[in-house]
Amino acid sequence: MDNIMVPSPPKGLIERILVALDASAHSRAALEAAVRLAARIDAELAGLFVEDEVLIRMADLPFTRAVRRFPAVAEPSSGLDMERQLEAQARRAERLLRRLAGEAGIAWSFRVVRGDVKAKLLAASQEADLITLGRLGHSAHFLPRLGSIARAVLLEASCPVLMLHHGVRLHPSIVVLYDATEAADRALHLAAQIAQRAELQALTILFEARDARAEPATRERIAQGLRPYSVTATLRPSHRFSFIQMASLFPKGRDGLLIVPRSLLGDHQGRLERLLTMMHCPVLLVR
Amino acid sequence: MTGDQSQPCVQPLSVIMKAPIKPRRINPDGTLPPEALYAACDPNQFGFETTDDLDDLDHIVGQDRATASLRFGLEMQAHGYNVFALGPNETDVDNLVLRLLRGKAEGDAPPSDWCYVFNFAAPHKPDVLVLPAGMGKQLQADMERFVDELQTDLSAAFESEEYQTRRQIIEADFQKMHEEAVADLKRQAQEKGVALLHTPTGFLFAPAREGEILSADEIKQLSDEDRTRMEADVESLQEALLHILRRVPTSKRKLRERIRALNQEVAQYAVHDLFSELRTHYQQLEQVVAYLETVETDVVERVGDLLKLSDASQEDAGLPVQRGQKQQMLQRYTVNVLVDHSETQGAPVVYEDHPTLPNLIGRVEYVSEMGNLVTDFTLIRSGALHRANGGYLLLDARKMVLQPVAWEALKRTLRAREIRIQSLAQAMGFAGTVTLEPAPIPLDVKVVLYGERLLYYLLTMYDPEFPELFRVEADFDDQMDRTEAMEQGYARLVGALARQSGLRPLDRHAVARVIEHSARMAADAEKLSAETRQVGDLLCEADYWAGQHARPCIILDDVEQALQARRRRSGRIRERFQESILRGIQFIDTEGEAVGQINGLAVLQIGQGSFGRPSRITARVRLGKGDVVDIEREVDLGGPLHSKGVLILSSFLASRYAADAPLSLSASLVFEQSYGGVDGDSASAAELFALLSALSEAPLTQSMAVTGSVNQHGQVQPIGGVNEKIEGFFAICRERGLTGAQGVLIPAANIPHLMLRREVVEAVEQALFHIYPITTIDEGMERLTGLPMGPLDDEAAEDTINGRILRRLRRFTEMRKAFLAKADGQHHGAQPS
Repeated sequence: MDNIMVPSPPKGLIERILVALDASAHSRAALEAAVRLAARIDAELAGLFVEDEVLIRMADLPFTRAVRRFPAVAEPSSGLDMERQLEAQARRAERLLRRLAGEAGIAWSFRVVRGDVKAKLLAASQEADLITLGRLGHSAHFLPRLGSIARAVLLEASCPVLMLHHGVRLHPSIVVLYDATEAADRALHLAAQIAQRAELQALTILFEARDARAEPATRERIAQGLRPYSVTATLRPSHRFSFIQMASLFPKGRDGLLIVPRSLLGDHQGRLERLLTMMHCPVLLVR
Repeated sequence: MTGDQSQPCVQPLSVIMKAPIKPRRINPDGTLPPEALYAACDPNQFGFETTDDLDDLDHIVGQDRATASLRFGLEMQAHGYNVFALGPNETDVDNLVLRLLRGKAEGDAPPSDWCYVFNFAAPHKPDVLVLPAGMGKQLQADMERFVDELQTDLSAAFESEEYQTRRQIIEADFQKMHEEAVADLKRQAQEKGVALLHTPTGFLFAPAREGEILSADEIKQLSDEDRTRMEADVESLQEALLHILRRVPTSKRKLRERIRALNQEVAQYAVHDLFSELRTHYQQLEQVVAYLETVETDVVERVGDLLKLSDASQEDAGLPVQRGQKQQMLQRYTVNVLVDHSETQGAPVVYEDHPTLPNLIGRVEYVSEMGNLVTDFTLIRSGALHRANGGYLLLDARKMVLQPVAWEALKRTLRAREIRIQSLAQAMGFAGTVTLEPAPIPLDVKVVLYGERLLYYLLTMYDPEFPELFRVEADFDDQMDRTEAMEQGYARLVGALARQSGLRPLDRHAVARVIEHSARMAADAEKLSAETRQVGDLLCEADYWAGQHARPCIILDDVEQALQARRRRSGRIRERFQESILRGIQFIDTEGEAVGQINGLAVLQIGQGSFGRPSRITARVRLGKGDVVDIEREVDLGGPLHSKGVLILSSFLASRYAADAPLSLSASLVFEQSYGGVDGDSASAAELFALLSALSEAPLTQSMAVTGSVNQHGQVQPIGGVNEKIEGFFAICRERGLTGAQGVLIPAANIPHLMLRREVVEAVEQALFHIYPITTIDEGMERLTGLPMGPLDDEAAEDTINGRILRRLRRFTEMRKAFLAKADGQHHGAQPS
């Protein structure tokens, strides 16, 4: 393990964080994380609520039946009713954003759009430097482990995506998985940027070193990447580069931020799911 | 003592009179020798130079009865043997009693500590714990540490991998059950061509084909058969979903119960060590061990709430309300040490100088929380009774009865032998709000009330509970016998008083003078005053004068100067009275003779001082039916005692001179120039002299004044204020110039009371003034007229008083007879016509 000091001015700042809001418990976790992150690195928050077009359209179909969760009763459905529900939800989401952002003293904006959720989120991510999504927590049941929309955003968004469990908080220790790809370089930049702006000391870079001959080159590449930033990083070579090793870096109760380059997940969705299931910390996925 | 300062400028009277006064002799000429007028205190009897040489007092001087009563009361263990120390304020009863109590308490062991703790069964009735002295504070500290450690231990246990895993297993079981049920339903729906979607408030079933939701047009194109089937399918799926959803609350409750059981199990395990340590430490104290067990049960039962607290404490954005809740929740495990005897030596002696209800029996305080007044067991405050429990409580009886509610509460508490804290509103019976009812504390205390005698007698008479609760009467005397031993004791008392007040010490001449003044205060040469507060004042004032002369100790001069200054300060009215006599506004003769006229003596008490002044009494006689008219009484200026004196003297007159015939005269008596009331019988001898003079037409010398009361046999009886009376007449005579013939007639029984001022004694010594003790009216009459009384059966005796009176009376009788006969004749003469 080496310690490398890299003094240089920062560049390519994260200035705008997009938060997908739906007023559920897991979107609240995403919001809290975004607020913390924004407060640490002085970024602006952009709340986005997408009214699901499909739902409104469906509610008006002749055979459609609605079932209310609390209390558990059946009722006729209508598009108008659905619109009202979504509006109320949007208002709640805005209130929450206003309160949390106000307490933290950060700049924020809020927008409601109607349409296909996935498409609208992906479109919005074009204008953001980072997007946060809430992931399933223990308390939210009935939903699939990883929502189809969340999965789509993770895989398709053009900016880095931050995923969180409900009840997990963002803590000031960052680990970057480095596999010497371009995505990994971007992950390194992002990590260094956050660490520097938040004045964090704990930045760990776990890099792939299956081939011992390639190690000095990788180290050099990392040093190169960190040069513009005045941060101290701990380098840890890894020969197996497995999820188990990653998990060992984040024991339960010690949250941190794990930054993963998209390249590492390959093409399988299974690896992404596995990563998110095993890790209890927030994960930032970088393309 | 050496040097000039020890040489007193004023010769002490004891030097003038070499011999001690007792027994007091009477000169052959019937006057009192100067040494009989003042019982001096011999400074040479004292073996010290200044009072600094004397030890502190270890006993109370001259209050044997009261101290014995107090000792008895304090040692008597039976119920109701509390003490009332009664005596005039000036005797300094409170300080004497306090000293005695402290002496007694020193030997006793300090009593138990008392603590209030949370009552887990009934929160509004705090429990009480009794611990050996000093242990209360210790338990409090232990419980504070316990609260700290409890939080750490619990969070450690609940953050552990083992706990988290067990909890996750339970939660996962629950989640799986429902997720699977919903997923199952979703599959079934898909098979039937129905999509299940999530909405903000629940679910939506919609017709679909191959995963795509049908559009309105597509639905329109469905056959009636398909349509009916689809409707039925949606219906049944809806029922199935409702069935799943309705099971959620029940299984959620079960989940909570399982988690609660797990939490309790973990908590029990986590705090076990903490408690067993505490239990071992307090194993001797059953009550404390039982309390600790209830704490343990509570901690385990409420572990969920406690964990939420430690979560909130990690969050820096805790609202004030949350902090308050946290404090409240943990506060229940703290200990309120109501009475702490960790520093107490001996039994406690408490003097409560403001005995209000809360000061006496304690109170429950309130704090304002979000605009509401709230309280709990930590806000219970002790009263004087709590602090004195196991020891002694001293209270001023007057202040006590001025607090009627507190007085009733004190009696109730003493009777019940337990302290029950009640607010004023509760005690008065109009409390409607819910408040604390702290468990009562058993009471074992000796209460000593002190106050004026009158108060004691009134309480005994009017408060039926009082004598039952205050059975011991410690009666402090206001004077003590003046023996040589007592004078020695008094000297130490004077020394102690000076030391207590931080005054200069007194040399022995000064002490002797103080003792003499004390006898004068007692108005008795053979007694000493127990009014130590006044003695203390005198010492303070003498100290002031010693300071003015830059003396290291108080000497005779300073005491004299203090006395003179005091006399001068209160002398305005006395001087006005003297002035009005000297200027001839108030008629008082101090020489010459007059028939039916005499100088009586009265005492006026104004403020702190009293003084004597002469007043003229006159008598006139005329023919009449034998009645003596008391003019004072006729106009309601005379009090009952004065009237009694007049009736006695008229009875004496009638029985002596008209035992067998009616008295044919009318006499009238008056206090000349009196514009206020007159009471007391001390002028009855003077009145009798005036009357006898008027009757015998023998002039009375005006150079003398008379005091004394008379009985039916003509004996002269003692009166009060003899010193002031003599000095009052002397002052007038001296101002006019002493002739050598002037003097005062006093009852012989008053001789032991003489403690006259220096100037009187000196005048007597120089034969310029005389004090004549008399035992009978005849003695006095002879002294005042210069004529012998003579026999009562010798009417012819020319120069005797009795002869003159008998002749005068006979003349009256004859005149009356003649008068009656004449009236009778007129009456008879008128009848025939």
